[in-house]
Formats: sequence, C-alpha cells, structure tokens
Amino acid sequence: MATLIELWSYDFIRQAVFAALLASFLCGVIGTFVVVKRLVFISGGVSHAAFGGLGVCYYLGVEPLIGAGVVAIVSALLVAVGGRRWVRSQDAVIGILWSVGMAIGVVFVALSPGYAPNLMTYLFGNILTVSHGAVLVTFWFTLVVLGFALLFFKEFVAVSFDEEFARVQGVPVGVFMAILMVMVALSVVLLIQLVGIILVIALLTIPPVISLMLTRGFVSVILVSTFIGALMTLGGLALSYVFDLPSGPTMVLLGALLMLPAYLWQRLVRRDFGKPPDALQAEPQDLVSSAP
Amino acid sequence: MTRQETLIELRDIWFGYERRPVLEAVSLRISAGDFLAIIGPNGGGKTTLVKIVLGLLRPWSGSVRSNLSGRHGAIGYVPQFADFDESFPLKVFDVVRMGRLGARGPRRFYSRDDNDQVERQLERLGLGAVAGAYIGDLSGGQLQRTLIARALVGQPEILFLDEPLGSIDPESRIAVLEALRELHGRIPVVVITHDITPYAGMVEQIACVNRELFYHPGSELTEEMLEQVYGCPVELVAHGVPHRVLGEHHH
Repeated sequence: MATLIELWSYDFIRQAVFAALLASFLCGVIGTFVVVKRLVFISGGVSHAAFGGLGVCYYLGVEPLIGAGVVAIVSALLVAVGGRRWVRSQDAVIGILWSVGMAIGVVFVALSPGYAPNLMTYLFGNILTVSHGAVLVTFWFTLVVLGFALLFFKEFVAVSFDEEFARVQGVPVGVFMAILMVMVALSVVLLIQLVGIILVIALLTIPPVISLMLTRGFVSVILVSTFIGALMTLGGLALSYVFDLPSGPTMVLLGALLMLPAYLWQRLVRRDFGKPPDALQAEPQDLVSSAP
Repeated sequence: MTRQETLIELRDIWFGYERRPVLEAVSLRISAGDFLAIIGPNGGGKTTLVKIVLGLLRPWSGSVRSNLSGRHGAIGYVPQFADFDESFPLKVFDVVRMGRLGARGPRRFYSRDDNDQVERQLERLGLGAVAGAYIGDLSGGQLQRTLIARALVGQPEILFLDEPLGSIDPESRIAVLEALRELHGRIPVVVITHDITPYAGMVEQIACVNRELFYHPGSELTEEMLEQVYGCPVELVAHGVPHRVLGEHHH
C-alpha cells in the first residue's frame, strides 16, 4: 500500500493512469463499433498510414501526433467513405496505405538529423511518457465521442447494422460513416501513445471481443468492453511495473490472456450457442394447397 | 386512391456495374393495387432494379418517378436476410424499432408511440414471444419476419421484399404469406422471387427481369414469356392444383 501511495506521487504515473482510464472509454465505445461494423482492417491500415504523417512532422520538428492525426483522418475517410465508390478492391487500398505510410514514416525519421530514440515509442508505445497536454486532449476528445455516441446512438447502430435500410429510412449514412471514421482515426492516434502503432489495434478489438463473449446487448457490450479496456490498460501498466516489462506489449498480452476465461465462460456457462434449427424447407406447393 | 393510380414509374432505365450493363431500357409501372412478382434468373438484375427504385443505386440513364408522399419510410424494404451478421448484439425489438427512424421526424429519441407500434407489428407477425430475444438466437424464418415487421412499423405506402420465403421454416412461411395477403388490401406489394408458386392466388402482375424487363399484366406465366427471359426453352412445372398459376400447356 505504501508503495502505491508513493507511486501515485509521481506525476508521470498519475498521467499514465488518467490516460489508461480515458483510453478504456475509447476501447468501449469506438472499439465496439470497429468490431461490429467490421472496421478492424481499416483501423489497422489507418494506424500504420498515420506513421507517415508522424515521420514527416518529426522531420519538420512539428508535434508528430498532429501529422499522425491528419493522415489518419484523411486515409480513414478515403478508404471508408470514398473507397467503396472509386476502387474495386477496398482491402488492396488499405494494404497500400498501410505499407506506404510506414515506408514514408521510416524514410523521414531516417532523414531527420541526429539519433531517433522515439521511434520505438511510436511503434510500441509507452504509457509512461504520455504528456499532460496529451492527456487533456484525450479527455476532451473522449467527451466529444461520448456526446456523439449518446446523441446519435440509434443512427450509429442502424448504420452499423444495415446501411441500406438506414439510407431508405432517410438516415444520412455517408455523414454518419464519415463521423464514425474520423472518431476511429482520432482514437487510433490517441491510443498510439499508449501502445504504439503496431499494437493499437489490440485495444480496439480485444475488449469488445471479450465483451461480446460475456454479454449481448449493444449498450452492455459497450459498458463491459470499457471495463475490460480499463482492466487491460491499468492491469498492463501495473504488471509492466512489477515485472519490469514494456507497458504496451504487456497490456496487449494481458488482454489476450483475458480472452481465454471469457471464451470458457461463453462455452460452459452461457451455453447460448446454436440457434433453434430451422425446420427443413417444406415443398412450397404443400403449403400453398394447405393454406386456406 | 384508385387501384389503377400509378405510384412508381420507371422509364427507360439503364444501369450497370463497372461498364457491364445489368439493366437495359427497363420500364415499369407499379400501381396502387398491384401485387407484383419480379422473377428472373440469378444475376438477372432483380435486386438491382429494386435498389434503383429505393434510391440506393443511381441509374446510368432513365427516370424514376414516384407519387408516394416522399416522407422517409414511405417505401418499405425487406432485404434478403442471408446478408445479416447474426452475431450483431441487438434484440428483435431494437431491430424492428429501426423502422421508426424515418417516421420519427426531428425527434431525437424514440417515443412511447414508436414502442407501441413496434409491439403491434411484432404481435401481428407472431413475434410477441421473441421480442426480447437476441437476433442471433432466431430461426431464419423468425429473422425474416423481424425484417418484415421492421419495414411495416414505418407505415410504408408500398412494400418491396427480396426473396421473403428463401429457406425459411413452414410456420414462418405461412405467417409471411398471411401478412402479405392482409397487407395487399391496403398497399401494393412487390416481391422478388425465383419461384412464384407460393404466392399463387396473390400475384396479379409479373415482371421477368434478365437485363431487359418483360411485363405481364396477369398472374399466368406462359412458356413464351419464360423463353424470352431465360433465352432458351424452359419447361414449366405447375404445382399447387387448388391455386393454379400457370396456364395449361401442352407439349
């Protein structure tokens, strides 16, 4: 207990805990939409593409996260909103963005004068280096995300479940997809600080996936995955301290370990697998002739 | 509104994906009293045609005119349920209530009236008992009925259904047909189907779509018509003696 209080007195520990708690809201809200709307691959592409912007800003001496944010938003919108109309194969475009972004980033970091000690931090994250300013930005962004999610919950769910039906009902699907993708892109950039470009996708997928094993209502999936997100980030932080491990990978591995009991719970306790079997297809004419 | 009043009129529609035409010079008129079956081979453009009417696809050329009120949800749409993600964390009630999105107007949240309408439609389609069930637990037929209820709570002025009887259980089949029969008294119904036999006694117009559209203002299907559509002689097999759809034919 004494050590805990002592730890809490360190400013960087407090920032890390705040960052972890805020991140868990993003895991819960944005992660759930990423998983149910099948945006996982897009999110992975966006985070890697963001490294291009990050590298350019690093070279120019501008705050790297600004470059990452701009590139993330542009590439997310390109792929998710425009991509379906302009290109034949969305996943090929994602693959190109993914690798070209990384290549640009690495080239510009190499061009930058002097040693580049921060590179590993951006690739694998380090929650202990999160700045006060970054925590504040994450705080306001999380509030905006929660506000949008509350206000337009129906629309986001409808667009995620069935875009075409939502459009027939007059929902501006393109606008909501664009808002969702911007929120995904910014979440990715902010979560990069915690776990890095390569591992960020874990924070957006593992908590909702565990949550979907444990519960089934849309709202409860969001709440439980927020809780799992907190468990992953705070637990990972604690474990990385205790065992002197890098924090980002520790969080991801803790999440992966949590999937096992969740899976067993789903199989053994919840037992809701398998739907009532459809009756065999009857011959149509039997029904027609038996109908009154 | 008379039964003959034209509700939707397509004129000389051309549409395709990439550069390959899927629909060529298609014209179609749907009137207030119609029960129209759209038939044709797979990939012939049946679903594409309906998506153009719904405004989901923009034709290369041609016009779509509508005499519907123009409010959101005026066109009811029941897509093929095979495309749905069954693990999506939603209850039957929530899915059906999405049909109120358009009718809700500027109000931000669902009202008690929305909920009442949802419950009424669920009862009507025999889904009252599963209102609180997650869609992943439904049978195919129950899910199909859920999607029909979702289209109906928006109080549509016309209803389009894409293969509403595709691989569903007999109980659901009867419930769906019953609902369509009842509905047809009030609004026009358009079904996409590869088999019109189950709709015997209900279908009043037939449109065969295979890139081109052949309209048939009656419920009897002739071999010449099918030959036109499928491009080769097709053997008609008549089922369902009490409600014969197909004309007598001799070889």
